[in-house]
Amino acid sequence: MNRMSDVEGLEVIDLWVKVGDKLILKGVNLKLPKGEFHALVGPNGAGKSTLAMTIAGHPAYKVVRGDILLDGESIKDLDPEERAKRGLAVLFQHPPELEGVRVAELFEKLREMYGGEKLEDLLKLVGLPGDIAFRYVNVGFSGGERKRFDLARIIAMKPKIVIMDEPDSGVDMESVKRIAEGIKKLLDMGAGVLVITHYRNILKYITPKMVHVMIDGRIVKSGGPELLEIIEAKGFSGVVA
Amino acid sequence: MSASRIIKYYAEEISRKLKEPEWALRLRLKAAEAYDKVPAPPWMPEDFDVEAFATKAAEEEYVRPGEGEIPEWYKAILDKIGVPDVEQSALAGVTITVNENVVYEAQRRDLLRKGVILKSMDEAVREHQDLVKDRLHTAQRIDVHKFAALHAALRRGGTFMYVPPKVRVPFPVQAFFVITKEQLAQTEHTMIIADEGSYVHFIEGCIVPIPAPFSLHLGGSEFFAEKKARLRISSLQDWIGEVTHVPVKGAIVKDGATLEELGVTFGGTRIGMRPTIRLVGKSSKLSFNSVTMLKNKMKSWSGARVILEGEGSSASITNRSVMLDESFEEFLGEVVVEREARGVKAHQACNTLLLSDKAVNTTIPKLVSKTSDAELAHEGTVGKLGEEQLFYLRSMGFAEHEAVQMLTLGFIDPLIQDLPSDYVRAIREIVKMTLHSA
Repeated sequence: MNRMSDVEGLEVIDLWVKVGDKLILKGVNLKLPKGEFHALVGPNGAGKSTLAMTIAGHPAYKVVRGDILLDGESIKDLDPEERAKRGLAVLFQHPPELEGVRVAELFEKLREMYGGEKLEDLLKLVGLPGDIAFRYVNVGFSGGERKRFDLARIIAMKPKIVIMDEPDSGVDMESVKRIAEGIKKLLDMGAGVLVITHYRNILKYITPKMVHVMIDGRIVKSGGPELLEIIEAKGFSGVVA
Repeated sequence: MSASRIIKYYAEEISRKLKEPEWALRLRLKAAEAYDKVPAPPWMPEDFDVEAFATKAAEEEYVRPGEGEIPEWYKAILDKIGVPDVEQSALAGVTITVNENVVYEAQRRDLLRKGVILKSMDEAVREHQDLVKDRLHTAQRIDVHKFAALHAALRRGGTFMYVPPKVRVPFPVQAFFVITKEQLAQTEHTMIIADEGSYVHFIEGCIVPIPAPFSLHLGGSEFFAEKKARLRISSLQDWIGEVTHVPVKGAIVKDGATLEELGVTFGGTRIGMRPTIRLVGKSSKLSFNSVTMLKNKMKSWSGARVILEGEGSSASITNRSVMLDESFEEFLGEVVVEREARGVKAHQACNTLLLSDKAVNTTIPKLVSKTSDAELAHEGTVGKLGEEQLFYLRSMGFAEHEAVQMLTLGFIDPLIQDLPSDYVRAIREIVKMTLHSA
């Protein structure tokens, strides 16, 4: 495959995306180099989750224009599993329940594929009890357990690029702290991490190198963490004024 | 000549060969007589040739698998339960074993010491008339339909087990039918009796790794949970080849007793079974779970008829089917509450997973209550695998077929998870192979 860019990591170029007949993303540009931690913020309905799902390769999200590159190669037309194998991992906003699929079984298969850490170490890392291994994935999990579990399976994938869709929504503060530690671990492993956050809770525990503000399907501003203070004071519209 | 007269002829022949007591012969003749009068079940093949069937049922035949015909996973199970290699390839008789590491002869002795009777049904009819005579065909009744009558008339082979009062068998008793003329008969009959206050888990593994030697299998079974007994029955069937599998089954649960039944059925081309389970005792309990996987052009008529007769009796019935290709299933789940049965509860769930656009499922719940004091519920779902679940797994790097396999195994896992691990593994292997071949 031709390398279309020299960026090591994720590059989103002029991305236009439709869901059904509705155009949601209208020309998104974003660069996430490996080893960096970025935040994507913006009001409800701006298209943040659409960006995450499109990058992950969800079939309902149709790219009408633009491209998504991973380490300089286009992944736009690849199946979701191919994207994952190339090093992309997405933490779901609402990870679904997998009835009948045990946590231990899933991790065994992930380990076969990626050769990552042992389940007990991963569970310790995210602060989940060992006996969760025998439960069905996400079935009866609390909000915090779901996100901690999803973080553990992402670390097991040894990814290069991680997109986290609202890892801090619907969870307790202890979980938010754990997730922040998990992000640090991923950064230590050399991954680039983009956190989509509406609440910005997580950013109290880990400071992003870059903050991107999305409004109405476009990234309207990118800058350092000081953007967060402006948003805090003036709201999202304040950053473009 | 009427069908009944033909059946009578062969029933007499079988009874004579087995040197049965007079009452057993009379029961066969009564069943043969009934054949002409009772209705045909919907799963009876239109071209069913009763004379050809009866001739074969009366014949004796030996079957042994050829070289390389036994799959590795199957051998692994046999190894685990301690069946020696030589017997794995050509075993005649029931293999009795416990847990995972003890040789089966030792367990047979252990059971004997506890007073448990375990032998072939044919022997039991001759040697344990006190236990058999008053029970035979009272749970599996001959007048339900033609196959029920035919089975009773031509019954041959099968397993008999009796657990004496208050005896608790601490390990699952596994009757593993390898390949045998007796156990792989067309009309074998299994009778399990858990006497008062006893407990046993009986696992009937009929995972036949080679094509069955007959085209229509009409086995039968009867389970009796006497007062305060707990009887657990797990049955695993995997038929290879063009087999019509139409077992006739029944169970009776007495005062304070519990029957827990799990049936897992794979293979065959035409499956028809609707057991009748009667909860006759006060506060008797039933848990009835079934798992089926249908592929190609398989046709299946499933469900159970559960009759709650005892005050305060309760039943939980769950059926999960996985359907592939152009398979067909009609699930008829019937729960009947009799007039004198007050304070009963029953819950029935039927979940079907459609993995093909060409498979057809019909689910018919039938709840009949003759008393106002009953709580009955039915829940049914028919659908395909969740798109979000599939995408979630694919986003982790699993190919679509792997994701389908994981979720399909997951769909049946809640029903099989309490089985010994060897069986869970075996079932999972069979599911994987079935998905793979679809």
